[in-house]
Formats: sequence, C-alpha cells, structure tokens
Amino acid sequence: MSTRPHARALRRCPSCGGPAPGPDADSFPFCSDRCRLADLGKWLRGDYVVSREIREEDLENPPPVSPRDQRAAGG
Amino acid sequence: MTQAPAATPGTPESAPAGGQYTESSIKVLEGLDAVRKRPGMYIGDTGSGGLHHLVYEAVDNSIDECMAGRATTVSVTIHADGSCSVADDGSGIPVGPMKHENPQFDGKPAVEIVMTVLHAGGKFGDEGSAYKVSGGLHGVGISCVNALSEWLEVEVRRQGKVWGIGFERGRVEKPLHVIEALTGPAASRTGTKVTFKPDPEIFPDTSFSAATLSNRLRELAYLNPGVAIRFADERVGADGKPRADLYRYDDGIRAFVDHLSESKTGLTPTIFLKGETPGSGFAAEAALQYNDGYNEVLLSFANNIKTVDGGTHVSGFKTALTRTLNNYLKQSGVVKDKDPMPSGEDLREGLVAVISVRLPQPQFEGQTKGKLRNTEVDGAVAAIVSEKLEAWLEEHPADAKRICMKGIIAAQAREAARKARELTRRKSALDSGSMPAKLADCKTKDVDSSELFIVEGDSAGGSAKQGRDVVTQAILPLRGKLLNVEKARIDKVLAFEEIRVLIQSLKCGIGAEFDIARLRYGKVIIMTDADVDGSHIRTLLLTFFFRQMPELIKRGKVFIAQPPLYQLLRGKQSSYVLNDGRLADVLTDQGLIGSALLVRDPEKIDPATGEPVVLRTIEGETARRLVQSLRRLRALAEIVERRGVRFADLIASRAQDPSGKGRLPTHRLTWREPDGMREAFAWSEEHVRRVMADRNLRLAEIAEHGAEPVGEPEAGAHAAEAPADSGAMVVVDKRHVAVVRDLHENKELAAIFEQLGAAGIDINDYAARRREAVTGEPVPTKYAWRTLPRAAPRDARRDDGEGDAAADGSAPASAPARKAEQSRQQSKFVEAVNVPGILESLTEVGRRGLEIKRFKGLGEMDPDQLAETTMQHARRTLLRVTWDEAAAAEEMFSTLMGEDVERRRKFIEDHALEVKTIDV
Repeated sequence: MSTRPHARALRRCPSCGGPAPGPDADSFPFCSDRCRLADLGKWLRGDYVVSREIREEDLENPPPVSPRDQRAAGG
Repeated sequence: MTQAPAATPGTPESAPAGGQYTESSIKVLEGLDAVRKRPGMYIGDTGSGGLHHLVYEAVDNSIDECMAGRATTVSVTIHADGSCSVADDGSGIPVGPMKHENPQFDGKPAVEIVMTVLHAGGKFGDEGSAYKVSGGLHGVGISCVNALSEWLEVEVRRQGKVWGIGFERGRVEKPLHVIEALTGPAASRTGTKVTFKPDPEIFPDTSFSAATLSNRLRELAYLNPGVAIRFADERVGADGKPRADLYRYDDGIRAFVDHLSESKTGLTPTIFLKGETPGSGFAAEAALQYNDGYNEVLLSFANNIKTVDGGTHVSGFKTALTRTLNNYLKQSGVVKDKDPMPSGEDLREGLVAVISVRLPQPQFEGQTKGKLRNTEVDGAVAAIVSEKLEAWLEEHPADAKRICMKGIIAAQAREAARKARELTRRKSALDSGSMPAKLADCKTKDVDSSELFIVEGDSAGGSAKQGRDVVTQAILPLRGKLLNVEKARIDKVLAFEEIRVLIQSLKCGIGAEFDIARLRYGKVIIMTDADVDGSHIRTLLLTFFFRQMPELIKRGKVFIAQPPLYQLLRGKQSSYVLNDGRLADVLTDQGLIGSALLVRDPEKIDPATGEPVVLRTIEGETARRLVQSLRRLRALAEIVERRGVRFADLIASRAQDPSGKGRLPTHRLTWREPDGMREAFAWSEEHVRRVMADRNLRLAEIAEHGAEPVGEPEAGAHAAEAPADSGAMVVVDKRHVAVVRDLHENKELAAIFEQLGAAGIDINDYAARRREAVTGEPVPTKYAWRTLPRAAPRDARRDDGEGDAAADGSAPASAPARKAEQSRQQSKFVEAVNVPGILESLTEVGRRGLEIKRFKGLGEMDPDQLAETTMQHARRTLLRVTWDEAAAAEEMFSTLMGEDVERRRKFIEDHALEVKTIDV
C-alpha cells in the first residue's frame, strides 16, 4: 500500500540534519568532517544523555548525583 | 585615422605641431609632466597594476556615461600592436570651445582640456555635475592615461560628425579635426573612443593581460546591471585565436554571487538585499548565498571600485549579519541554551557575498586605496542589511534554519577543536607515556593479544580487575548512571573525564589526529549489565565509536562481552544462561527430556486410569519441532499485541474472511472518528479500498504522519499530544485519515496454525479457559504433558533437602505448601488449558529440580564467576560488533536523543518486529 509506516527514513547527518553521504564517504555518517567535529564537541561537553525514569530500587542504592544538577545547585 | 582638413569649429588656437612652445602651453603641460615624473602618485605603480589602471580609467568614464543613462555599451579592445581602445555609445566628449577663466584654457576644445588637464572633466563639479555618482577612478582623470601613453587618439561622434584629436605623451600631436561628416541614421549616433598605447618609457612591461582585464570588466558588468561590456583581444592567444566576450548581467550582483558559487553546493538561494538612505545619495546592495563549504568569500565595492581591504561598508554588513542572525537564532529557538553562541566568523562560514555601495564622496585609505573609510557608511549599511535580512529570514524559515544550523555547527566544531587540543595537550603536559589512573593496564605491550574491557560501574570494575588475566587484560571502569535530581530520572552519560580517559587509554587519538595504527589494544570489549541501563551505556559507547572512531568498528576491534543473566544449579552442577530468551529455551529443552504431549478428549474418561482418553501422543523430534513452532507463535503474538491488536481478536477475525476460507487478514485499517478510534481488517488490497470507500476514508499523506491517528495502547500519550484532533485536516478533505498496515507476519502465522493443526492442536484453543464441572471440580484439560517418572521426581526428591526447587527469588515455602508443591511436581501429568499453556506447562516441567539464580548486575558476580563466564578466553562468548550493528545502535541512539515523539514511538514498534534478531 502507499503508506509505508515502516519504511526507513533517509539517513541524515547527525549534526546538522542535512542529507548524509553514503557509507563509503570518509565523513560517514556525517555530511562533513566539520559536522563530525561538532558532534565530538557534544560528547566532550557531556551533552549526550540517555535517560529513563527513576525506579524504587534506584533509591535504595542511589547513583551519584549528576554534575549537571550540582552545577545548577552551585548557581 | 585619416587626417581631415582643419575644420575645427571655433578652435582658433591649438598647440603647435612643431617644437615651438608658447608660455601657456608649457603651463598646461606642467601638470602632465608631473604625472610622468611620479606616475606612482597617480596610478599606484608602473607595474602590472598601474598598466591596467590606464584601461580602467578609460572604462570608468564610459561606465559613468552608462550610469548616467547616456550609454548602454562599452567596448574594450586590445589591438594586435598592444594598444588598447575603449569605446562607448554615450554622448561623446564635448568638442566645442571652452570658456575658461584661465586664459591658457579659454577657447580650447573641451575634449583637449579633458585630455590634458588634471582633474578636468564632467564629474568634478559638485553641483550640476554631469554625473550624480561617479566611479572616476580615484579622480585623477583620463588625462593621466594620456600623459602615460606613447600616443593616444580620441574619436568623438557628436553633432553628426566624427571628430579626431591625437596626442603623444600628453602633448597635442594632431589638433581636433573632423574625420568624417556623418549622414543618414548614422548622423544621430554619438560616442567616444579612446585608443592609447602605454609608454614603454614609463612601463617596463606594456603588454596587457587579457585575464586581468576580463575579470575586472566582468566585475563591472555585474556591478552595473544592464550595461553591456564587450571585450576583445585581437592579439593571437595561446590557443592561436583572438578572443571576444560579451558581459551583461541584468541580475547584477545576484548573478555575481551565483557565478562565485558555481562550483559549490548551495544551502540557500541567493539572497538580495537593497536599500538607500533617503536624501543622502547613499545606496547599498548586497547579494549573499550560503554553501556547504567553510570558506568565506566577501567582495566589496564602493562606486564600482573594488575595496580589497574592505572598510566601513564591510564592517556594517558583518555587524548586521551577525546581529540579525543571532537575534533570529534566539527568537526561533534554533539555538539551545547549552550550545555555544555562534560568532560572526562562525556565521560567515560558507558565505559568498558581494556588497556594493554608491555614495557621493567616497574616501579611501590604505596602501592600495583599497579601503573605504567614510564613517557614516557603517551605520547606513548595517541599518539596510538588518532590516532587509530580518524580513527575508521571516519569509524563508527553512533557509533561515539551515543558515543558523551552519553557524551553530561551526561554533560547536570550534569549541570541540579547542577541547580536543586541550585533551592532547593535557596528556603531554603530564607525561606522554603514562596512562590514566583509572585504567588498570595490562602488562603486555603486544597489541594483538591485549584487550581493553570497558566495564560499567566501579564495583564490577573492581571484580573485573581481580578476575582478569593481568598480562593481557586491561580494565577501564566507567561510572555509568547518574541520578538527575532535577528531572527525577536516571541519566546515562559519558562525561568529559570519561571520554578523555577512554581516548587516552586507546592511544589512537581523536578527530583529525585519529590514527588506528597507534591503537593500544587488539580488542576493545564493552562489558555492561544485561539490563536497560547497561544497554543504554552500550548504545552510548557504540554510538561514540561509530561516529568518532568508525575505523575501530570497520576493522572489527569492538566487541560486546556476554555476561550471563542466570546461573542454573542442579545439585553441585552449575551452568550459566545468557538471557531470558535463552532461559525459556533451556527450560523447555529440559522439560522435553522424556516428556510427551498428549492431546486428549476431556469428555471421555478412560476408566482404567481415570484420565481422559488420549487422542494423540507427540514426542521426540516431533515434539521438539512443535515446541519450536510454539515459541515462534509466542513471539509473533507478542508483536501483534504490541501493535494494539488482541491476538485472540486476530484469530477470531478469520471467521470474517469474505472468501469463507477462514484465512488471516492481510491488512489492518485504523482511523479516528469523533467518538474514538476504529479499526477494520481486510483480506486484499481491493478489500482495503472497498472498506475505505464504505467508511469514507482516505490515506494519510506522508507529511501528515505526525498527526497519524494511531490506536495502539502504548501510543496513548501520543494521541493526547497530537493536535486536538485531526479536524484540521478534515477542513481540507472531509474524509477521515486511515492508516493502513500490511500484516506481514500473518503469512508465517498461517503456516504455524497449519502445522499445529496437523499435530492435533487447534488454534481456536488459543484463549481457552479451564472449565469446571457442575460440582465445581475442574474438568480435565485437552492438552497435557506426560512426564516420565524417571528423571524429574528423582531430582525433585534429591533437591528436597537442599532447598526450594522452584525457587526463583521467591521466599522459602512453608512446610505444608512445600509438600503440596512436591506432590504436584511428582504428578505424572502437567495439564495445559490452552495453546500458550502448552509452552508454559512445559517450562514448569523443565524448572523442576533446578535452582535458578538471577544476576541483577555484573557486580553481583564474584571475581571468579565474572572471569569464568565472561572474561576467560576458553569459556566466554564475545559478540564482534559489525558495522551494521553499530549503525543500528547509532540509529537507536539518534532516535532516543531526538525530540520527535512520534518517531521514537515508531522506532520502538518497528524494532519489536526484530525481536528474534535482536535477542536481548
């Protein structure tokens, strides 16, 4: 049918969202080395966070508080 | 040029052709002699720049004629003898006698004065000037060209005649004369043609460069839209041919920017901004385009003069561009708080721009006079550019976003490059040889045999350090999860410090300095808990490698450790099981040993045994294959349910098969009606169309996916987030939007149903419930496992003294309960009420006599267990991360990171279909 909800979206450059080159390109999966560098900046800044909701067992043995919060608390 | 009889109108006196100078003529020539003595003061130098300057001076006069609306075409020709002529179809330099207060000049033909007196000409008057705004190259005038030419001839068409006047090194050689009287239509034509040969006494090299001239002439054509400039080189070029070009660009500097961007990939169309400051005679225009490169190309002109060193118009443009884009960034929310704010330079990466201003009194400075310094221009340009650019951005949000993203990326990259430098510098500042303190390195320096374990959590890291082979195995613990108090969430993040340590441990550098040859370890092994947190951390690490060190994955250097999730104990024997899926398999495999599935008739009781009559007995290889089908059925049912369809409903739908064959449907339609979600099944595409027509539905457009009316339970939140309802679309099309899904898995399901049927298992028993007799006693079930009395009961007895055989983290059973449990386990038959129950009861059989221990995390294993199951070469299983798997992790990561709720939901659903391949 004409609706293909499962069709995979075209790959986009993870940094700028522009069209990304094929897997053979040196800059893959980015459109350019510049965008790769921009992405590295985000890693180094700790921007990439995967998170989930807190659960009861987390409170029994709480993990360390995120430095983000400490920053916020410290002003 | 032919010598015409002296018919000069009212020019009684000209400089004599001979060597006899009058006092007045000496004074006239004084100025031009000064030019010849110090040519640099007038034309910059006597090199290539100065030489071509002569042509520009003449061309500028012609362009001025065009700008004043008196001419349309300028022709520049380099002749075979090395002379150059510049002609226009303007009104022609006046030839009549001039009234002048200076007796030297009084009564001489105007053209002679223009050619022999410095700063003479129509553009030097303030009020009543013949030209409103003039390029007039730095105002020295055509007389300089005359002074520096071996010879120069002017031909003027005016008043129905062709006039000629000739000079040698600035001195009149052939006084003004009529060359030809024009008749007919030609008589009304006007124009000026100046032909000159640069003086070799002044210029060491007098040969013109066609490339230099054509560039400048093309530039002038861009700057003066509508003006046609012909360029011809009559000398024979390198290719053996003379050249002739015509430059005319009605789009002006827009075409200029297009030309400059030709070899580049544009991100935006060419933006054209134009404005003027009322009453001041000031006008500015700018054309700009962004491409996917990083270089900035910014050309600026003031009154057609190329300002190579920029000046106030350029600074005004830059200020306005930075300010306007930054304002837009903030207002549109394209920039996030945490993003570094793009600088002016960041916002000019990939910019191609041409700025042209016109103003009455340009002032230039600098060595080459290539910098505009009128202070009022800065603010005037900034005001025009800000206003026009802001309006453009508002009207072109998609392009505006692309421009902003480019600036943000540039800022991020700049910051990243700085941090990456810091990272490597810090390393060398301490000691380039030393490794990070957190890392427990291995002893061998042999790359191929050494392994780096990246371990989630400090406690697991501790166990791994104790259990490792210190010669070949290095351990790097990662902190893993953090409590995010503010949002009440658990965050997984690779902090700067951790990435720094990781990069330093690997020793292969990062970014431009990445070099796989310097990699310290032969294998990089990610070892995380087998839970959600672990999978998140693994996803982060894989995405980091995939994006920043793809070579590691391409070369197959990255692995996933496979710590077991379960330990199975049978007496003193122990084994480990990787995950839930495998545990289910292990348990059913165990259960199958010596067991047979009975299909019975619950209505008929065999009086001998008191059990129902057995219709069929399935055992051995047949039973094993049947169990495989049942497992697959369980997986498929889960997928179907996850899509929001009750599996039992799907089975029941077979009754509606229009063909009456009881087939499974091929499609499912869902749509939203005012009172809620509706769904229907269809058995062919034709059937889909029929349903759509009957219910007045239409297909969703791709663009409408965001508002797709989905009815899945897990999408409940989404439904609430969607625009109030799809009413907005209904305005356009009264029909409801339907989502049609192919039910691909139904083919496989049909095959399984058939297989089960052949074995005597009726799929209609899928959701069967236990029935009770009138007495309240449960009626025997249709299906039951007969377990051989040999293995299971004996094991159960043996385990009796050791603990609860059914234990799976449950509390120790009380004595009577244990007794009951024991007797249940020892019974010969384990009943199954329905189809899923067949697998469940088999699992129960397999569970007998086993103690199952679940590891909540790596930290729960002692060092020996961890080493034995996960780290030692002989026992462990490692998964090599393939490029495709890493790409999938990256995709998952992008989706998890993304703000698109709908896409995230779809992703999870799509991947539900891949359960069998993911097998986590």
